[in-house]
Amino acid sequence: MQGTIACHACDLLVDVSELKTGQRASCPRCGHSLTRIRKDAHSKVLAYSVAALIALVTANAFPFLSFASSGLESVMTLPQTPAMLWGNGLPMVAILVAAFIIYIPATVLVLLILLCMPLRGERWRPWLKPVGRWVFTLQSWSMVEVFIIGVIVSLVKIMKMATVTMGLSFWGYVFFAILFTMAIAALDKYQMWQEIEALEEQRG
Amino acid sequence: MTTAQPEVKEGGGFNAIWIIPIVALVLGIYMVVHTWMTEGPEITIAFDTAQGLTAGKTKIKYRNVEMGLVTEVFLTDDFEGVKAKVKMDLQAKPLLKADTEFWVVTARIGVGNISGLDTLLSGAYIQMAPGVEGKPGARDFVALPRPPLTAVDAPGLRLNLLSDHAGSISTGDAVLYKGYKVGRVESSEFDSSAERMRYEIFIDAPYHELIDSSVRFYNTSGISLSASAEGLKLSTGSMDTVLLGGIAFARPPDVPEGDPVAPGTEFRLYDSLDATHENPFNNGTHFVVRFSQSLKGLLPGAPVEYRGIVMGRVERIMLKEMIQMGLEADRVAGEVTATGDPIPVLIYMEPGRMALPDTPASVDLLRAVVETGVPNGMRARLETGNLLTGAQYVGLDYYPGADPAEAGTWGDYTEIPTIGGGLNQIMVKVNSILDKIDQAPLEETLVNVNDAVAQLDKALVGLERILNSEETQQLPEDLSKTLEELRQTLDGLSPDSDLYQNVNSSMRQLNRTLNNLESLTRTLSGQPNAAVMGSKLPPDPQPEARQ
Repeated sequence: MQGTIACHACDLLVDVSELKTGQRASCPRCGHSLTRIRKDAHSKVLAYSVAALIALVTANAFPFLSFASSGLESVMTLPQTPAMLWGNGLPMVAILVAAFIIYIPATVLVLLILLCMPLRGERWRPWLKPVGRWVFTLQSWSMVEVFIIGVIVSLVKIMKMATVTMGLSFWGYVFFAILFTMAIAALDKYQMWQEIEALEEQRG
Repeated sequence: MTTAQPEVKEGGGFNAIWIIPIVALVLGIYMVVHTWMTEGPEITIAFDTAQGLTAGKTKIKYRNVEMGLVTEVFLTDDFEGVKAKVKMDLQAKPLLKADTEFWVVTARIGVGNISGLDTLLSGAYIQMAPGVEGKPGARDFVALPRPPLTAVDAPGLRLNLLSDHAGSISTGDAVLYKGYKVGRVESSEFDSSAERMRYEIFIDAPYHELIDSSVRFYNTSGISLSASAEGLKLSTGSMDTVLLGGIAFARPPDVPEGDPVAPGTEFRLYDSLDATHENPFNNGTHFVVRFSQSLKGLLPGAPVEYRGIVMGRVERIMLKEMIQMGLEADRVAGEVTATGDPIPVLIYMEPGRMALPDTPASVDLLRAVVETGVPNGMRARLETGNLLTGAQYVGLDYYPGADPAEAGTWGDYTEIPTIGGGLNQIMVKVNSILDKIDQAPLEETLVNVNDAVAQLDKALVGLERILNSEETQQLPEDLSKTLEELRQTLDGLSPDSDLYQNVNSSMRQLNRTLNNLESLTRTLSGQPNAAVMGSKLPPDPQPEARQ
């Protein structure tokens, strides 16, 4: 069954072996996008990943938000968010938040770089398979967008009570979230595994 | 026909996608650099206690603008104090000089004021007062234990006042000019080496222009009650200075404006307004007067007056010098002699009090006046100023009848001769009167008086005899009879008597006659010929109307 793919939406088996670079394959029955061969796909993933990592690092280095209410002022940085939760007696929530918004996305980005560097050079590396698997496993646990939406919702509520000022990190983190999403989006799962398989066969 | 083949190259070229990480990198670097560039200095401030200081919360403020944040609070290595690390803003950098001051602002409730109430909600903050000296770049500071009363750079004038005792003035008390607060006491300390109090005061601009070398500062604290040759005197300042104490300054009357003063100039702090009035002149001279009478009630500071005008004051009684001179004389003579010498009193006179210019030339003039005045009868006299308190003062005047004398010297001073006087002289006079009474021929007078009394007695006896005689006893009876007769006579004239009736009818007739006469008079005045021709006349002809 070389070159066929089951549609994610309707499970129709579709033969995509004729697909060429720059083309996109969709399910003939339900119209779901199946796979796509982008030009320089790995370069894109790599570029977005590197940019997202840089954005994440800067987002951690500066004040994220500051609240001021009747003379009381509180400035918070991104790493302080889980630390504060921990200090407030919510260690589990703190660990989860830290993992979902910082560490898992960072790990995903590192894995993406490890994955795409060899694929771009078309070189076999023994970690390609596990890394490829982990990227997609971890990616679903990254909640960057959820966090941003959560922050925005909270801000709308808090703004009535206190003066909220967004710091540099907030915009850095928004930038990171966009780049992170683009990096994930630029990676085509089907094509990636095809290439890994090809490289493994080449070697073997 | 050959077809040209293109040159094909693998890969190469620049992929536009790499612009994204480059942009991210540039932005990241920019943020780091920007933060690093705008980062202010980190300073350390030492405190006695960390009360009110919280790392990450406590702010540094200057004019209520945030200038930094406390990042760390820790004990010093010797556990004797607390240090706070403060991240300052970049704009605070030029303000951090060697004498920049920091202090913690919390709510404070003092006797005269309440401050820092806003910190009850927001928590304490550290106030900064920028320095004025040295170059920017100081990094280690020691916080003030309490807020300074005046900012380092506040416009005004800082002065030192010296006082012999502490009075009731404390830090923060007002400095008043004509009752209006123009400054405050910043610090008070006892200068143990000079044995006196030193107050640092600050006069706010623009009132510091009122200060020149001629003004005098005095204590207005509390209530002062003084008894002097002028009587009892009660003086108080405004209510809050009564309660809290304060310092006032004023230029004594009749004193010309002085020179401007430099910051830090020392002034004497007088005990009262009166004290400033008594010593407003810089030029004066000493004289000695010697009295051989009781000096009780003559206190240092008592006035020296010329015909009631204050010219100076008593400085002190020179008992010590007198004893020394006496001992010296005894030593020379080789034996102890007690002669009851008059007691010298040192007086200080200021020509400025006599509307003369306050200059050394006037002092020379005063000395010349005294030296020429003494041969003409100028004398000092001890006078009683107040009978109630017994205070005495020294009076100067001309006594043409005084024994001739010259202005001598006593010790190092010119001596003005004295003349007994005041209450003393009155007592002398009273004594002489009593002596005269004593010498009067009292016994002879008494015999004469006795004679006179005897004769008076005789006269009284004669008078009594006259009163007791028969004729005198009958006198009231006769008088009574006479009165009875008089009453009967009067009864004859009463309305019931005939006489009265007759007179009444006569009067009525007379009235009627007068009425007739009146009508006659009227007729005559209307028609004067009626007396001759009768009153009837033909009527006047009337004009007739034609038909």
